[in-house]
Amino acid sequence: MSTMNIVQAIASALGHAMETDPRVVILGEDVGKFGGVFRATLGLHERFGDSRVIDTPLSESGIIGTAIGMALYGLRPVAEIQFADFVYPGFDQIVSELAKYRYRSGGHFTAPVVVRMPYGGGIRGGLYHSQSPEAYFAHTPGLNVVVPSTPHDAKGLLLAALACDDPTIILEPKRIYRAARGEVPDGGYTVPIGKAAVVRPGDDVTVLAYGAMLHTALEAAELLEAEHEVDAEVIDVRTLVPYDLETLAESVSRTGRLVVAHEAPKTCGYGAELVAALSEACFWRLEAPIERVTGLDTPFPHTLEHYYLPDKHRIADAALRTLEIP
Amino acid sequence: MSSATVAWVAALDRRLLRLAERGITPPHTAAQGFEGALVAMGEAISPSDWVFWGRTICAPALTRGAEAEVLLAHAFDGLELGELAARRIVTCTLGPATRVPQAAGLAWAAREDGIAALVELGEDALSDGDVHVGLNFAAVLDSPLVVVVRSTGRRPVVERGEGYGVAALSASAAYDEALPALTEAMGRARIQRQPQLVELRRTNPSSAAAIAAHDDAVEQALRAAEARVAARHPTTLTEPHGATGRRA
Repeated sequence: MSTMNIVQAIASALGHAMETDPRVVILGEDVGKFGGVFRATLGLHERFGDSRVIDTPLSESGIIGTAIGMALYGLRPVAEIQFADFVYPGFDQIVSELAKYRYRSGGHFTAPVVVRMPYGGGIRGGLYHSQSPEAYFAHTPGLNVVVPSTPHDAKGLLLAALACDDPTIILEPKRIYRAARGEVPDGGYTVPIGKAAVVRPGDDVTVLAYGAMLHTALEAAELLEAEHEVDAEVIDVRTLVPYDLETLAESVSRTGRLVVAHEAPKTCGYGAELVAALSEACFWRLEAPIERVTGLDTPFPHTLEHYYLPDKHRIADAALRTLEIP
Repeated sequence: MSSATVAWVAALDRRLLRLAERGITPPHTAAQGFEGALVAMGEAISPSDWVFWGRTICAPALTRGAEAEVLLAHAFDGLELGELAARRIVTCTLGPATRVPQAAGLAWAAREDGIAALVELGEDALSDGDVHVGLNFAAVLDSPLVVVVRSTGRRPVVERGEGYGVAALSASAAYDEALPALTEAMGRARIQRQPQLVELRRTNPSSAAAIAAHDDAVEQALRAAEARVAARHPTTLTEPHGATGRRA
């Protein structure tokens, strides 16, 4: 067991996977000698050579497309997209090709590509280095979509994705790449895709979040307890597709109140799916209208990102509204 | 191979084209003038090579043991993808060239096994950015990929190879000229582990008489294909306008 941040946990997962499985290759922009712009692949090129850690031309469609071909032949490629904001040129390869290979080949081909991409705001990156595009991928059948919020989950989910025969999109919260630290097993382990984590048990209101927003939700829960004696249950959704409806519905059925928080814009954001699914599952147990706390329906701003991003006060206020506490 | 094989492919091609024109099956790209080239592609590849195919009739499937019935049935509902996949054939999707980067990646993965990949395109697909991406990646990665372009001479093809550092050659799409060109390109790709670009220039299509000689066999294959599709979709048998109730 070692104390790591999320970047170190990702590097640990990649190193372990490459040591234990010769099918695993990494490709992307500057992932080789440079070690990745966020250093998630640091040292791997030296350890495994340029036939397994591949610096590619600057083309996301090329990165995803070649990764698909590698996967068809039996490799386990890990494609790094430098920022999630850059993924759109590769969107066609992901949505029209990667997500559909198993289906359109009658199950003969699988394309077990893992696509990693740092996402989200909070680093003063402006509108092209701060976006949260998870809903696009969650809307596409054929893809797993996961978002770790801790070093432990970052490693475990990445290894679970590599063990899966279907493609997985991993959105990594770059705002907490180094801020989130925790104990991480040194060897291999997996965090199951499709399981949420109850991070803070509570009885009064359920707060759902993922990625960096989970930590904001936890801050809100502390605020609610300290100032209003409200006992919030905070759940890390963790895997957006497939999502753990059982765990989420159990909590909402018990508390009767729900707040969903994410960074992405509100309209058709991933929270809308959670709200709809939990309305269907728990309608007769709800005691109050569901609240969404999200980014704004605007491009991601530069100087106003502190205003755009949900903070603990907005989440706490939403929770109080569900409880009809002024 | 014989000229009869080329005529047989031509006969299948005409039938698939008519089915598509009547809206019974999805779009089919006519292979007229390229029938010999298609057969040559099927013969130039080794059994272990991979093929990324376009919308023309999939000649490598025939050379790898698939029956014409399979290709015709595939045209009806697309459900023969599994049979083609089992023969290391990847059929195309929506994009005119999305398969080029994929073929580059597969060829790279297979390079140490002495395996190459062939991707077939029409010349209009050269306008698509995925062709640039695929050739660029293949050149940078040293992928044993052969990109074959069916050309009518409307666009420069071999000149593109120089821009990517990719060896390029041009030959007639007639079987006798296409086969040695493709065999050479596949061999170079495997041995040198380098991508190759091959232009096959359209030639005279098979004669109507040569095609007509296969009409009965094509009709028989079409009936078998319809029966196969009908078995999968029994409800369509009762629908007067169902695909299985019509003939091209």
